[in-house]
Amino acid sequence: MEEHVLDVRGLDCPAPMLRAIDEVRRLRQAGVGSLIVIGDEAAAYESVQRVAVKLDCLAEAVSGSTAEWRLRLRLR
Amino acid sequence: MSTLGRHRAIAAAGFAIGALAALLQRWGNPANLGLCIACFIRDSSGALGLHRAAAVQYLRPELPGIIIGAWLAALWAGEFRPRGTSSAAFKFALGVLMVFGALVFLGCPLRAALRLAGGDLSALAGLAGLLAGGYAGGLLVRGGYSTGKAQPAARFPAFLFIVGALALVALGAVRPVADLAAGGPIFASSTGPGSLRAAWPLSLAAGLMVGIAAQRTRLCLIGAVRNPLFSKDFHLTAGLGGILVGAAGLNLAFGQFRLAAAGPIAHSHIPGNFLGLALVGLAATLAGGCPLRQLVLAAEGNQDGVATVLGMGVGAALAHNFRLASTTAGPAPLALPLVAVSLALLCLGGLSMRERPA
Repeated sequence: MEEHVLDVRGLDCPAPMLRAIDEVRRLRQAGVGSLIVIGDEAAAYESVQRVAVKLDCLAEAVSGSTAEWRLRLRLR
Repeated sequence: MSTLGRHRAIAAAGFAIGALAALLQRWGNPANLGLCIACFIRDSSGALGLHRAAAVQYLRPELPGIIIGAWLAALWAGEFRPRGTSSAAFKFALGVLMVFGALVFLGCPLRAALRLAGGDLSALAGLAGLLAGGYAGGLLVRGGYSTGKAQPAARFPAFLFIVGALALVALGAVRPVADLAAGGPIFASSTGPGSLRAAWPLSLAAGLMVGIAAQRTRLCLIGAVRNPLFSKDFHLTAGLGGILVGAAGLNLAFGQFRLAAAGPIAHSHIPGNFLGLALVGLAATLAGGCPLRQLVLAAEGNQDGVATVLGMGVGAALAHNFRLASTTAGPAPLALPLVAVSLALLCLGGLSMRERPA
Protein backbone atom coordinates (compact mmCIF):
# COMPACT_ATOMS: atom_id res chain seq x y z
CA MET A 1 0.00 0.00 0.00
CA GLU A 2 1.38 3.39 -1.00
CA GLU A 3 1.92 5.72 1.95
CA HIS A 4 2.22 9.47 1.65
CA VAL A 5 3.74 11.85 4.19
CA LEU A 6 2.45 15.28 5.25
CA ASP A 7 4.91 17.29 7.33
CA VAL A 8 3.20 19.95 9.47
CA ARG A 9 6.08 20.49 11.91
CA GLY A 10 6.50 24.11 12.97
CA LEU A 11 3.26 25.31 11.37
CA ASP A 12 0.88 27.60 13.25
CA CYS A 13 -2.69 26.55 13.96
CA PRO A 14 -4.93 26.03 11.94
CA ALA A 15 -2.56 25.06 9.10
CA PRO A 16 -1.89 21.47 10.33
CA MET A 17 -5.60 20.71 10.51
CA LEU A 18 -6.49 22.39 7.19
CA ARG A 19 -3.57 20.79 5.34
CA ALA A 20 -4.52 17.36 6.71
CA ILE A 21 -8.10 17.82 5.50
CA ASP A 22 -6.99 18.87 2.01
CA GLU A 23 -4.43 16.07 1.78
CA VAL A 24 -6.89 13.37 2.86
CA ARG A 25 -9.42 14.55 0.27
CA ARG A 26 -6.76 14.69 -2.45
CA LEU A 27 -5.33 11.26 -1.67
CA ARG A 28 -8.73 9.67 -1.36
CA GLN A 29 -9.57 10.85 -4.88
CA ALA A 30 -6.26 9.41 -6.06
CA GLY A 31 -7.07 6.07 -4.43
CA VAL A 32 -4.22 6.24 -1.90
CA GLY A 33 -4.80 4.13 1.22
CA SER A 34 -2.98 5.94 3.98
CA LEU A 35 -1.23 9.11 5.02
CA ILE A 36 1.45 9.70 7.65
CA VAL A 37 1.20 13.14 9.28
CA ILE A 38 4.34 14.34 11.09
CA GLY A 39 4.04 17.19 13.58
CA ASP A 40 5.59 18.69 16.68
CA GLU A 41 2.75 20.48 18.48
CA ALA A 42 0.41 18.81 20.95
CA ALA A 43 -2.46 21.06 19.81
CA ALA A 44 -1.87 20.04 16.18
CA TYR A 45 -1.76 16.35 17.16
CA GLU A 46 -5.13 16.62 18.84
CA SER A 47 -6.72 18.64 16.02
CA VAL A 48 -5.48 16.22 13.32
CA GLN A 49 -6.82 13.30 15.38
CA ARG A 50 -10.21 15.00 15.60
CA VAL A 51 -10.51 15.83 11.91
CA ALA A 52 -9.46 12.28 11.05
CA VAL A 53 -12.63 11.09 12.78
CA LYS A 54 -14.68 13.72 10.90
CA LEU A 55 -13.15 12.53 7.61
CA ASP A 56 -13.94 8.89 8.44
CA CYS A 57 -10.27 7.95 8.72
CA LEU A 58 -8.75 5.58 11.22
CA ALA A 59 -6.01 7.44 13.12
CA GLU A 60 -3.14 5.41 14.64
CA ALA A 61 -0.22 6.86 16.56
CA VAL A 62 2.98 5.63 14.90
CA SER A 63 5.23 7.39 17.36
CA GLY A 64 4.63 10.14 19.82
CA SER A 65 6.50 12.52 22.05
CA THR A 66 6.04 16.18 22.95
CA ALA A 67 8.88 17.01 20.55
CA GLU A 68 7.64 15.06 17.52
CA TRP A 69 4.73 12.80 16.68
CA ARG A 70 3.66 10.68 13.72
CA LEU A 71 0.07 9.81 13.06
CA ARG A 72 -1.05 7.32 10.40
CA LEU A 73 -4.44 8.08 8.87
CA ARG A 74 -6.02 5.09 7.13
CA LEU A 75 -8.28 6.43 4.39
CA ARG A 76 -11.35 4.23 4.33
CA MET B 1 -7.09 11.02 27.08
CA SER B 2 -9.92 9.99 24.74
CA THR B 3 -11.54 12.46 22.37
CA LEU B 4 -14.70 12.46 24.52
CA GLY B 5 -12.58 13.03 27.61
CA ARG B 6 -10.92 16.01 25.92
CA HIS B 7 -14.34 17.45 24.96
CA ARG B 8 -15.47 17.21 28.58
CA ALA B 9 -12.21 18.68 29.83
CA ILE B 10 -12.36 21.74 27.58
CA ALA B 11 -16.05 22.32 28.34
CA ALA B 12 -15.25 22.09 32.08
CA ALA B 13 -12.26 24.41 31.66
CA GLY B 14 -14.44 26.90 29.78
CA PHE B 15 -17.06 26.67 32.52
CA ALA B 16 -14.42 27.33 35.18
CA ILE B 17 -13.01 30.31 33.25
CA GLY B 18 -16.50 31.79 32.74
CA ALA B 19 -17.32 31.24 36.41
CA LEU B 20 -14.01 32.82 37.50
CA ALA B 21 -14.76 35.85 35.30
CA ALA B 22 -18.16 36.29 36.94
CA LEU B 23 -16.54 35.91 40.37
CA LEU B 24 -13.84 38.46 39.55
CA GLN B 25 -16.61 40.88 38.58
CA ARG B 26 -18.37 40.20 41.89
CA TRP B 27 -15.06 40.74 43.71
CA GLY B 28 -14.53 44.13 42.07
CA ASN B 29 -13.51 43.89 38.41
CA PRO B 30 -15.58 46.01 35.96
CA ALA B 31 -19.00 44.81 34.78
CA ASN B 32 -18.89 42.12 32.06
CA LEU B 33 -15.13 42.51 32.27
CA GLY B 34 -14.12 39.92 34.80
CA LEU B 35 -11.50 38.81 32.28
CA CYS B 36 -10.40 40.38 28.99
CA ILE B 37 -6.95 39.83 27.56
CA ALA B 38 -6.99 42.94 25.34
CA CYS B 39 -8.39 45.21 28.07
CA PHE B 40 -5.99 43.86 30.68
CA ILE B 41 -3.03 44.35 28.32
CA ARG B 42 -4.31 47.90 27.67
CA ASP B 43 -4.67 48.56 31.41
CA SER B 44 -1.18 47.17 32.10
CA SER B 45 0.28 49.15 29.21
CA GLY B 46 -1.21 52.27 30.80
CA ALA B 47 0.08 51.26 34.24
CA LEU B 48 3.59 51.22 32.76
CA GLY B 49 3.00 54.72 31.36
CA LEU B 50 2.90 53.71 27.69
CA HIS B 51 -0.40 55.59 27.35
CA ARG B 52 -1.95 58.28 29.56
CA ALA B 53 -5.66 57.42 29.36
CA ALA B 54 -6.16 57.95 33.10
CA ALA B 55 -9.28 55.77 33.36
CA VAL B 56 -7.64 52.58 32.10
CA GLN B 57 -4.37 52.17 33.97
CA TYR B 58 -3.82 49.23 36.30
CA LEU B 59 -1.25 46.47 36.38
CA ARG B 60 -3.78 43.65 36.15
CA PRO B 61 -2.36 40.66 38.05
CA GLU B 62 -4.55 38.27 36.05
CA LEU B 63 -2.28 38.85 33.03
CA PRO B 64 1.05 37.63 34.50
CA GLY B 65 -0.99 35.06 36.41
CA ILE B 66 -2.19 33.52 33.15
CA ILE B 67 1.35 33.53 31.73
CA ILE B 68 2.90 31.93 34.82
CA GLY B 69 0.06 29.42 35.14
CA ALA B 70 0.43 28.39 31.49
CA TRP B 71 4.21 28.19 31.89
CA LEU B 72 3.96 25.94 34.96
CA ALA B 73 1.45 23.72 33.17
CA ALA B 74 3.69 23.53 30.09
CA LEU B 75 6.73 22.67 32.24
CA TRP B 76 4.76 19.95 34.03
CA ALA B 77 3.62 18.45 30.71
CA GLY B 78 7.02 18.73 29.04
CA GLU B 79 5.57 21.25 26.58
CA PHE B 80 7.85 24.20 27.35
CA ARG B 81 9.75 24.15 24.07
CA PRO B 82 11.32 27.45 22.91
CA ARG B 83 10.85 27.86 19.17
CA GLY B 84 10.13 30.52 16.60
CA THR B 85 9.93 31.47 12.94
CA SER B 86 11.72 34.31 11.18
CA SER B 87 8.42 36.27 11.05
CA ALA B 88 8.50 37.80 14.55
CA ALA B 89 8.16 41.36 13.21
CA PHE B 90 5.04 40.39 11.26
CA LYS B 91 3.61 38.68 14.35
CA PHE B 92 4.30 41.89 16.31
CA ALA B 93 2.28 43.82 13.68
CA LEU B 94 -0.51 41.24 13.94
CA GLY B 95 -0.55 41.83 17.70
CA VAL B 96 -0.84 45.60 17.14
CA LEU B 97 -3.79 45.14 14.75
CA MET B 98 -5.42 42.46 16.91
CA VAL B 99 -5.60 44.73 19.93
CA PHE B 100 -6.68 47.69 17.77
CA GLY B 101 -9.67 45.66 16.55
CA ALA B 102 -10.39 44.57 20.12
CA LEU B 103 -10.37 48.17 21.38
CA VAL B 104 -12.80 49.17 18.62
CA PHE B 105 -15.15 46.40 19.77
CA LEU B 106 -14.17 47.00 23.42
CA GLY B 107 -12.96 43.53 24.24
CA CYS B 108 -11.18 40.45 23.01
CA PRO B 109 -13.08 37.29 21.98
CA LEU B 110 -13.10 36.16 25.62
CA ARG B 111 -14.81 39.39 26.62
CA ALA B 112 -17.24 39.06 23.71
CA ALA B 113 -18.41 35.82 25.33
CA LEU B 114 -18.53 37.48 28.77
CA ARG B 115 -20.45 40.48 27.39
CA LEU B 116 -23.03 38.11 25.93
CA ALA B 117 -23.14 36.09 29.16
CA GLY B 118 -23.89 39.35 30.99
CA GLY B 119 -26.86 40.08 28.71
CA ASP B 120 -25.11 42.52 26.35
CA LEU B 121 -26.70 41.77 22.96
CA SER B 122 -24.25 44.02 21.10
CA ALA B 123 -21.69 41.24 21.56
CA LEU B 124 -23.59 39.21 18.95
CA ALA B 125 -22.47 41.63 16.21
CA GLY B 126 -18.90 41.22 17.47
CA LEU B 127 -19.11 37.43 17.47
CA ALA B 128 -20.50 37.54 13.91
CA GLY B 129 -17.51 39.68 12.96
CA LEU B 130 -15.14 37.25 14.68
CA LEU B 131 -16.68 34.44 12.63
CA ALA B 132 -16.30 36.43 9.39
CA GLY B 133 -12.70 37.41 10.13
CA GLY B 134 -11.82 33.88 11.21
CA TYR B 135 -13.38 32.45 8.07
CA ALA B 136 -11.43 34.88 5.85
CA GLY B 137 -8.24 33.96 7.72
CA GLY B 138 -8.98 30.26 7.34
CA LEU B 139 -9.41 30.70 3.59
CA LEU B 140 -6.03 32.45 3.44
CA VAL B 141 -4.37 29.63 5.42
CA ARG B 142 -6.05 27.06 3.18
CA GLY B 143 -4.73 29.04 0.20
CA GLY B 144 -1.19 28.56 1.48
CA TYR B 145 -0.57 31.53 3.82
CA SER B 146 2.25 30.74 6.20
CA THR B 147 4.77 32.62 8.30
CA GLY B 148 7.15 29.69 7.86
CA LYS B 149 8.03 26.73 10.01
CA ALA B 150 9.00 27.33 13.62
CA GLN B 151 12.45 26.04 14.53
CA PRO B 152 13.85 25.24 17.97
CA ALA B 153 15.12 28.41 19.65
CA ALA B 154 17.36 29.30 22.57
CA ARG B 155 15.87 28.82 26.02
CA PHE B 156 17.11 32.12 27.44
CA PRO B 157 14.71 34.47 25.57
CA ALA B 158 11.81 32.17 26.41
CA PHE B 159 12.70 32.35 30.12
CA LEU B 160 13.12 36.12 29.79
CA PHE B 161 9.41 36.40 28.94
CA ILE B 162 8.57 34.49 32.13
CA VAL B 163 10.94 36.74 34.09
CA GLY B 164 9.02 39.70 32.60
CA ALA B 165 5.74 38.21 33.87
CA LEU B 166 7.28 37.67 37.33
CA ALA B 167 8.51 41.28 37.26
CA LEU B 168 4.95 42.46 36.58
CA VAL B 169 3.79 40.47 39.62
CA ALA B 170 6.55 42.04 41.72
CA LEU B 171 5.75 45.55 40.48
CA GLY B 172 2.06 44.97 41.18
CA ALA B 173 2.87 43.80 44.70
CA VAL B 174 5.34 46.57 45.52
CA ARG B 175 3.93 49.42 43.37
CA PRO B 176 7.03 51.60 43.54
CA VAL B 177 6.46 55.36 43.38
CA ALA B 178 9.31 57.42 41.97
CA ASP B 179 7.35 60.58 41.16
CA LEU B 180 4.24 61.23 43.21
CA ALA B 181 3.12 64.16 41.00
CA ALA B 182 3.21 62.09 37.83
CA GLY B 183 1.93 58.99 39.62
CA GLY B 184 4.66 56.80 38.18
CA PRO B 185 6.43 54.68 37.35
CA ILE B 186 3.41 52.45 38.00
CA PHE B 187 0.22 54.34 37.19
CA ALA B 188 -3.14 53.32 38.63
CA SER B 189 -6.56 54.77 37.77
CA SER B 190 -8.55 56.40 40.55
CA THR B 191 -11.74 56.51 38.45
CA GLY B 192 -13.10 54.52 35.50
CA PRO B 193 -12.66 50.84 34.60
CA GLY B 194 -9.01 50.85 35.71
CA SER B 195 -10.07 51.71 39.25
CA LEU B 196 -12.42 48.73 39.44
CA ARG B 197 -10.43 45.73 40.56
CA ALA B 198 -10.74 42.56 42.55
CA ALA B 199 -8.32 42.07 45.44
CA TRP B 200 -4.80 41.59 44.10
CA PRO B 201 -4.19 38.02 45.45
CA LEU B 202 -7.59 36.85 44.16
CA SER B 203 -6.87 38.27 40.69
CA LEU B 204 -3.44 36.66 40.60
CA ALA B 205 -4.82 33.30 41.74
CA ALA B 206 -7.62 33.46 39.17
CA GLY B 207 -5.08 34.26 36.45
CA LEU B 208 -2.95 31.27 37.46
CA MET B 209 -5.97 28.97 37.23
CA VAL B 210 -7.01 30.35 33.84
CA GLY B 211 -3.47 29.92 32.52
CA ILE B 212 -3.28 26.29 33.65
CA ALA B 213 -6.72 25.49 32.22
CA ALA B 214 -6.05 27.25 28.90
CA GLN B 215 -2.65 25.55 28.44
CA ARG B 216 -3.86 22.05 29.19
CA THR B 217 -6.95 22.29 26.97
CA ARG B 218 -5.43 24.42 24.11
CA LEU B 219 -8.46 26.71 24.48
CA CYS B 220 -8.60 29.19 21.60
CA LEU B 221 -11.63 31.34 20.97
CA ILE B 222 -10.93 32.04 17.32
CA GLY B 223 -10.65 28.30 16.69
CA ALA B 224 -13.92 27.91 18.61
CA VAL B 225 -15.86 29.88 16.00
CA ARG B 226 -13.75 29.12 12.90
CA ASN B 227 -13.05 25.38 13.09
CA PRO B 228 -16.69 24.25 12.70
CA LEU B 229 -16.80 26.09 9.35
CA PHE B 230 -13.80 24.23 7.95
CA SER B 231 -13.87 20.84 9.62
CA LYS B 232 -17.16 20.51 11.53
CA ASP B 233 -14.88 20.25 14.57
CA PHE B 234 -16.73 21.66 17.59
CA HIS B 235 -14.09 20.72 20.17
CA LEU B 236 -12.93 24.29 20.89
CA THR B 237 -16.54 25.46 20.57
CA ALA B 238 -17.30 23.32 23.62
CA GLY B 239 -14.83 25.51 25.52
CA LEU B 240 -16.61 28.66 24.35
CA GLY B 241 -19.94 27.08 25.32
CA GLY B 242 -18.53 26.33 28.76
CA ILE B 243 -17.46 29.96 29.21
CA LEU B 244 -20.94 31.20 28.23
CA VAL B 245 -22.72 28.77 30.57
CA GLY B 246 -20.31 29.32 33.49
CA ALA B 247 -20.41 33.11 33.26
CA ALA B 248 -24.14 33.39 32.52
CA GLY B 249 -25.00 30.97 35.32
CA LEU B 250 -23.05 32.85 37.96
CA ASN B 251 -24.12 36.23 36.58
CA LEU B 252 -27.76 35.16 37.04
CA ALA B 253 -27.01 33.84 40.53
CA PHE B 254 -25.24 37.06 41.56
CA GLY B 255 -27.75 39.42 39.89
CA GLN B 256 -25.09 40.55 37.42
CA PHE B 257 -27.12 39.62 34.32
CA ARG B 258 -28.70 42.66 32.60
CA LEU B 259 -30.31 42.17 29.20
CA ALA B 260 -29.54 45.28 27.10
CA ALA B 261 -28.79 46.40 23.54
CA ALA B 262 -25.39 47.48 24.88
CA GLY B 263 -24.10 46.51 28.30
CA PRO B 264 -21.60 48.27 30.55
CA ILE B 265 -18.28 49.38 29.00
CA ALA B 266 -19.61 48.61 25.51
CA HIS B 267 -21.35 50.38 22.64
CA SER B 268 -24.25 49.38 20.43
CA HIS B 269 -22.67 50.52 17.12
CA ILE B 270 -23.23 47.37 15.05
CA PRO B 271 -20.64 48.03 12.29
CA GLY B 272 -18.10 48.99 14.96
CA ASN B 273 -18.70 45.81 16.93
CA PHE B 274 -18.71 43.65 13.78
CA LEU B 275 -15.63 45.15 12.13
CA GLY B 276 -13.63 45.37 15.36
CA LEU B 277 -13.85 41.65 16.04
CA ALA B 278 -13.59 40.83 12.31
CA LEU B 279 -10.13 42.38 12.47
CA VAL B 280 -9.36 40.36 15.61
CA GLY B 281 -10.60 37.19 13.90
CA LEU B 282 -8.47 37.71 10.81
CA ALA B 283 -5.33 38.81 12.68
CA ALA B 284 -5.71 36.00 15.24
CA THR B 285 -6.03 33.35 12.54
CA LEU B 286 -2.96 34.68 10.74
CA ALA B 287 -1.08 34.80 14.08
CA GLY B 288 -2.07 31.26 15.11
CA GLY B 289 -4.48 31.96 17.97
CA CYS B 290 -6.70 34.37 19.88
CA PRO B 291 -5.21 36.81 22.44
CA LEU B 292 -5.60 34.27 25.27
CA ARG B 293 -3.94 31.57 23.18
CA GLN B 294 -1.09 33.97 22.33
CA LEU B 295 -0.35 34.39 26.04
CA VAL B 296 -0.26 30.60 26.41
CA LEU B 297 1.91 30.11 23.31
CA ALA B 298 4.34 32.74 24.60
CA ALA B 299 4.44 31.01 27.99
CA GLU B 300 5.23 27.70 26.24
CA GLY B 301 8.33 29.32 24.75
CA ASN B 302 6.90 30.29 21.35
CA GLN B 303 8.85 33.42 20.39
CA ASP B 304 6.25 34.38 17.77
CA GLY B 305 3.70 34.35 20.57
CA VAL B 306 5.97 36.65 22.59
CA ALA B 307 6.19 39.04 19.62
CA THR B 308 2.39 39.02 19.25
CA VAL B 309 1.86 39.73 22.96
CA LEU B 310 4.39 42.59 22.89
CA GLY B 311 2.64 43.89 19.75
CA MET B 312 -0.64 43.88 21.65
CA GLY B 313 0.97 45.90 24.46
CA VAL B 314 2.31 48.54 22.08
CA GLY B 315 -0.85 48.49 19.94
CA ALA B 316 -3.04 49.15 22.98
CA ALA B 317 -0.95 52.17 23.88
CA LEU B 318 -1.01 53.47 20.29
CA ALA B 319 -4.79 53.01 20.06
CA HIS B 320 -5.25 55.20 23.15
CA ASN B 321 -2.55 57.74 22.32
CA PHE B 322 -4.09 58.23 18.84
CA ARG B 323 -7.60 58.20 20.34
CA LEU B 324 -8.68 55.28 18.18
CA ALA B 325 -10.18 53.18 20.99
CA SER B 326 -13.97 53.23 21.20
CA THR B 327 -15.93 54.72 24.07
CA THR B 328 -19.40 53.78 25.27
CA ALA B 329 -20.67 56.38 22.76
CA GLY B 330 -19.27 54.34 19.86
CA PRO B 331 -16.17 54.03 17.70
CA ALA B 332 -13.77 56.97 17.23
CA PRO B 333 -14.30 58.88 13.94
CA LEU B 334 -11.20 57.51 12.21
CA ALA B 335 -11.35 54.04 13.71
CA LEU B 336 -13.61 52.24 11.24
CA PRO B 337 -11.81 53.47 8.09
CA LEU B 338 -8.56 52.35 9.71
CA VAL B 339 -10.06 48.96 10.58
CA ALA B 340 -11.10 48.60 6.92
CA VAL B 341 -7.57 49.48 5.78
CA SER B 342 -6.14 47.00 8.30
CA LEU B 343 -8.43 44.24 7.04
CA ALA B 344 -7.38 44.96 3.45
CA LEU B 345 -3.69 44.97 4.40
CA LEU B 346 -3.98 41.65 6.19
CA CYS B 347 -5.81 40.08 3.24
CA LEU B 348 -3.04 41.36 0.98
CA GLY B 349 -0.41 39.99 3.36
CA GLY B 350 -2.21 36.67 3.58
CA LEU B 351 -2.34 36.37 -0.20
CA SER B 352 1.28 37.40 -0.73
CA MET B 353 2.75 35.16 2.02
CA ARG B 354 1.84 31.90 0.35
CA GLU B 355 4.13 28.94 0.88
CA ARG B 356 2.52 26.75 -1.76
CA PRO B 357 0.22 27.31 -4.72
CA ALA B 358 -3.51 27.48 -3.91
